[in-house]
Amino acid sequence: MQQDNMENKIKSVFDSIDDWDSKEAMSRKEAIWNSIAPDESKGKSKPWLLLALLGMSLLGAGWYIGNTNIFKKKSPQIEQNIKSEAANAHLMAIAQLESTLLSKKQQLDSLQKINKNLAFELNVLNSRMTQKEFEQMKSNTVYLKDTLYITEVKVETRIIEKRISDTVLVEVPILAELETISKVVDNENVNKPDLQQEAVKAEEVSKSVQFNFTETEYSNK
Amino acid sequence: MKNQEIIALCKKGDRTAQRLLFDEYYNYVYTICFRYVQNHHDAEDVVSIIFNRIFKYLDQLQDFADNGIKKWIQTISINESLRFLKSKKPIQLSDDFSQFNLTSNEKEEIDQSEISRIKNAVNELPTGYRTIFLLNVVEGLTHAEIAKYLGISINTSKSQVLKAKKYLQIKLMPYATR
Repeated sequence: MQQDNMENKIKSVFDSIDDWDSKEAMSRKEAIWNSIAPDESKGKSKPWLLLALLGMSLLGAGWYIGNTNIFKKKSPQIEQNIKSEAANAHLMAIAQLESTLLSKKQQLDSLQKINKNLAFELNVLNSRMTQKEFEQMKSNTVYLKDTLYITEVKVETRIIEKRISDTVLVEVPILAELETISKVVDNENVNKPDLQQEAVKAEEVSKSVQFNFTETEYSNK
Repeated sequence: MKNQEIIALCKKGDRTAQRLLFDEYYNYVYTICFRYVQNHHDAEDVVSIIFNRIFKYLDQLQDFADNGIKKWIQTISINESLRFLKSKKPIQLSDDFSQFNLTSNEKEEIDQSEISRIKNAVNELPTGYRTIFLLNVVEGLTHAEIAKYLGISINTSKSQVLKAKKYLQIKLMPYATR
């Protein structure tokens, strides 16, 4: 590369900014314009605000003095003191705001410094990293998977009552029927009884014992 | 509207005229500023300062031709950018040539385009060399002007530019034949 040729190339490279930087520049344009625009309303409002505050504080002080009967005895020295006290209060407030602003600026400076260092490191890394290394770095990236329990898992045993059936049927054989069946079984080998007759007999046997006391029967006895 | 009229209105505080001037030279100022501060966050602050100074000191402008205005704005832009750089960290000038990374790793830069290769090579220069080299080669300032800007001797400026050029030649020479 010839010396002049190289210089021309460098000049052409640095004479303009690339597309990305250009977009970034355009995105900041309005913010920059707003920062350089003299805000007249702000400039005018500040002294007015200070004057108004000063006036109000003086009025307040005057009212206080009047109420406490010092007003009549007020000397020019006292008046001056009141004014200077109010002014001091404002000056102190301004000084406090200025110190806050200074600390904020210092914070911003340190952040900018860190940012610049990081940007520089990134530039150096970018310039030194070839495409191959970049691909290798990408392929070397290992993603780890794991399960993270945020709270402890609790296992609770619960007994839940559930009705399986509404009606429970319990079949209880009637005593008389049982006797009949046993008789049948006993006499099965001797003579085979007529089962139908037996069943009729069983039906005739009353299933409950009923006592009918009538006055007539009772008197007969 | 002629430059002279715009500037006359700007001096009176006419916001429309100031906006016209701002729009006309915004990219130019931003490019100069970004060349030295190398990041957009700082560039935003410095460009704002530059335009404030431009509007404040418009009375000092005497040449109302395009080139005259451009040169005047360039001077303010360079001044403010350098002032910002100095406020962050004093610009260190060294005669030690060994601090350059002269190993040209062909494999490392084979995939880079020519523009990014040139940019990287210039950006790799230490701040002092880089600033003086850009002032001389890109801004086209003489060594006397550079000496005035940075408060250094003319010879220092010359030697710094010479060394920076030598370094860039070594760095960029392998790609010249491609």
